[in-house]
Amino acid sequence: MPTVLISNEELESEILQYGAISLAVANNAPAVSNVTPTASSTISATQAVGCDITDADGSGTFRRIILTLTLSSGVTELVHSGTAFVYPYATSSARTSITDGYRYSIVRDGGWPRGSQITLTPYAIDTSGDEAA
Amino acid sequence: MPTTYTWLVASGATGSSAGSPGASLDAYGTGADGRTPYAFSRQMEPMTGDAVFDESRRSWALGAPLAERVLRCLRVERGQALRDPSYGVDWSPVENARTNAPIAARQAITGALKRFVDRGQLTDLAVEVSVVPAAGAQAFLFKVSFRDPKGTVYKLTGRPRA
Repeated sequence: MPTVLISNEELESEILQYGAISLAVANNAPAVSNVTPTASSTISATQAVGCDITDADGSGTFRRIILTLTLSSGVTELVHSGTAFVYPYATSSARTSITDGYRYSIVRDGGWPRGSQITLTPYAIDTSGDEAA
Repeated sequence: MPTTYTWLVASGATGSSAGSPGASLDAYGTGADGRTPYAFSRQMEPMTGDAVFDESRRSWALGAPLAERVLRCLRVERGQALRDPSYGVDWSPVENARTNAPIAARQAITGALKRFVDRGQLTDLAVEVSVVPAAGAQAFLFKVSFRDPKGTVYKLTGRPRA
């Protein structure tokens, strides 16, 4: 069997002819913005709170977005599982698509406990493992 | 670590107990709907201690247990409860005509509720006493607020009985 020698130039041109695998790497971390109402303000028991969660690499690069809410009692409730809103937020809360992400409007069934403090924590992670600060 | 965003929820003013001119109750619970208390007892008329009937439910009116216990303690004058002579409010140091009467009244109420605080049954106790015009003279109006171990906030307003 004769030996066929392939020069480096021929090998490289062969690779280029068939193309190299193209990888798109998401290098922007998700970001939380447009927090409404302004954090640390006073809200009514029936007022919605919300935020925008976006990723400059596109909404398709999100791995998971989870929202939790902590009450004054120390109890932390799951607001959105990454798939849907859960009780007691499923009835009137909404998630709408925006450019590069989603806008969340959160309303608790029965309203927020009056005279209390509520704390929203969004966990947004993209496919590169970058997490919103 | 993700950033957290905090808001304060206004307390508002809804609900009342038996409608007695002696006291009113605002209770906000951590029950399933975020408004009602997570536990119930019979509601007692704040001034007399009689159970209150709720016509709409055709049953006993609902009250928050800790608030009912505090109201009961406030309507008993110290020394009148045979099972525990230390139970209730000692109003004897309070002289309406004295300038320090509101302070004495606040101390009397705080002293009466100290048993609940010492046992860890309520926290964040705040007592305010003010003087309001009534029947051509002046009367005390006290406001008591506290939080139970689950974070439920209760606010009571009332006047000492003559």
